[in-house]
Amino acid sequence: MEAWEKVLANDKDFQASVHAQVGCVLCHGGNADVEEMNEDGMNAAHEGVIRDPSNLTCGSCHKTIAEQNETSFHTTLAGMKNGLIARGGDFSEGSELAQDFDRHCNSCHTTCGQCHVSIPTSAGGGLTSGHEFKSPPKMKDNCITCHGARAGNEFMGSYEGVPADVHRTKGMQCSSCHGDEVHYSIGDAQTRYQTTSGPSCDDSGCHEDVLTNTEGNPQHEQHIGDLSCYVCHAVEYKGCYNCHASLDEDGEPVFTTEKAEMEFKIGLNPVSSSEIPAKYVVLRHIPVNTDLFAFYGDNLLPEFDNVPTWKYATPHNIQLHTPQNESCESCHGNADLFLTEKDIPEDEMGANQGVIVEEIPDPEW
Amino acid sequence: MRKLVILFVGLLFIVALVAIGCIDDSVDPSPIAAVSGTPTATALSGCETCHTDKALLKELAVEPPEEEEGEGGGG
Repeated sequence: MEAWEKVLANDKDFQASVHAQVGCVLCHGGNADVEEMNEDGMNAAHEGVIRDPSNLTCGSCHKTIAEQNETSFHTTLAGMKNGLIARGGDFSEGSELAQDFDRHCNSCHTTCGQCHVSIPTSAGGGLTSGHEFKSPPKMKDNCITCHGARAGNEFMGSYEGVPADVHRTKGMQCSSCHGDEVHYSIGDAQTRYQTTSGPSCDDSGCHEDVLTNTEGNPQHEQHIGDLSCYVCHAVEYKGCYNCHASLDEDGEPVFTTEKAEMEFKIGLNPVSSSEIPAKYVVLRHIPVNTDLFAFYGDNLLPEFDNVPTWKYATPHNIQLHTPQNESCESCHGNADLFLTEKDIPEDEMGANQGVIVEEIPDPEW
Repeated sequence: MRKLVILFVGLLFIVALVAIGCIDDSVDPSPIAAVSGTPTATALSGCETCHTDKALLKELAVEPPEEEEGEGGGG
C-alpha cells in the first residue's frame, strides 16, 4: 500500500458514524485549523499528532472491553513471554532477555486501532476501509497479517497441494469461531489453551453432539476422547525450526529461521486438561531453540528443557476426509505419522520427552 | 384496512430492529460527551480536507519512520 493510500480517510460510512462526530483532533491531536495546503501546512497540522491513539481514547467509551484488553494475550504477548519464562528466561526489569523480547517480539502486539481500523503496524500499517471501524476485524487485512505464516495460510489453502479449511470453503471467517474472548484477560493462564473461552467444535453449537452421539460412526465410537479432533481431521501444516534473533549491520533487530516445512505429527498431549483431555494430539514444531537469543548472551534460557519444542497444535485446515482417517491401517502401524525419537535432534531430546510416542499403535489392534 | 395493518406491523418491526441495533451495553450511551466532556457540534474537522483528497495526499504523504514498522506474518 502506498503511503498516501494508508491515510486516505474518504469512506462515507465512517463520515456518517459516531466516531467521525467527535472529530479527528479529539483522538489524534494535531491542529485542524491550518489552512496552507502544502508541506509546511502539513507539518503544522501534524504537530503533536498521535498516530495510534487507541490506548488513550478508546477506553473513554468502550470502558469494559478496553480494560479487559489491557491484559489480553493480544496486548501483552504473555503467551510467548510465559513460554520463555518457563524455559528459565529472566524477565526482571532491565534484564538482557526482557530487552531482547521488547526489541524482537513486542513490535507485534496489537492495539484497538490496529485490529479495528488499520492494518497492524508490524505488517506495514494503513487504513483498511477509509478509517471505518470494523467489528469484527477484517480477516485478510487484520487477522492474517499477523497470523498468516501458519494459521492464515492453512485456513486459506495457500500451501501448494494442501486444501483450504472446510470451514473456509463454507464461507466462514476467523470471527466465525474467534469472538470477544480475544480481548479477555485470562488470569493465571500461562497459555491460551489453559482458558475455557477459546473456540470449541462442540461448545460452538456447530457440532454439539459430536462427543456424545457416536452412533453409526465406528471411528468416533472408538476414538472420541482419546484423540483430539485434529488427529483425524487436520492435514499437513507448517512447522518452523531454529529461529535466531540478532541485529543486522544497521543495528536493526532481525531474525532468521533455518527451515520451515510442512509436517504432520501425532504426539502425546502436552496441555492435558479437562478442556483438552485427549491422549493423542497433533504437534507443531515452533521456532525456538537453545540458541534463540545466543547473539545477546550465553544460556539465556537455562531451563530450556522445561517446555517441548513440539507444541500442541490446532491446524486451521480441517477436512472431513484425510489421509490418516481413510482406514484403520492408515494410522495403526504407520510410524511416520507419529513423533518419535528419530524426529528429534539431540539438543531438543530433553525438552520433548513428554510428547514423544514410544509405542506406535499396533497394526493388529 | 389490511394494508394499513401490515404497514403498521412493518413499521413496528423496523423501529424495534433499529432500537436493538443501537443498543450496545459495552459502549457509553453518550460517547461524544464521554470523550470530550461536552458534546461537540463539529463533525469532521479541517483534517478531512486533506485526508479525503487523493491528489493532495499523493503529493504530500510520506512513509512513517522505518523503526515503526517490522516484519509481519507469524502465527
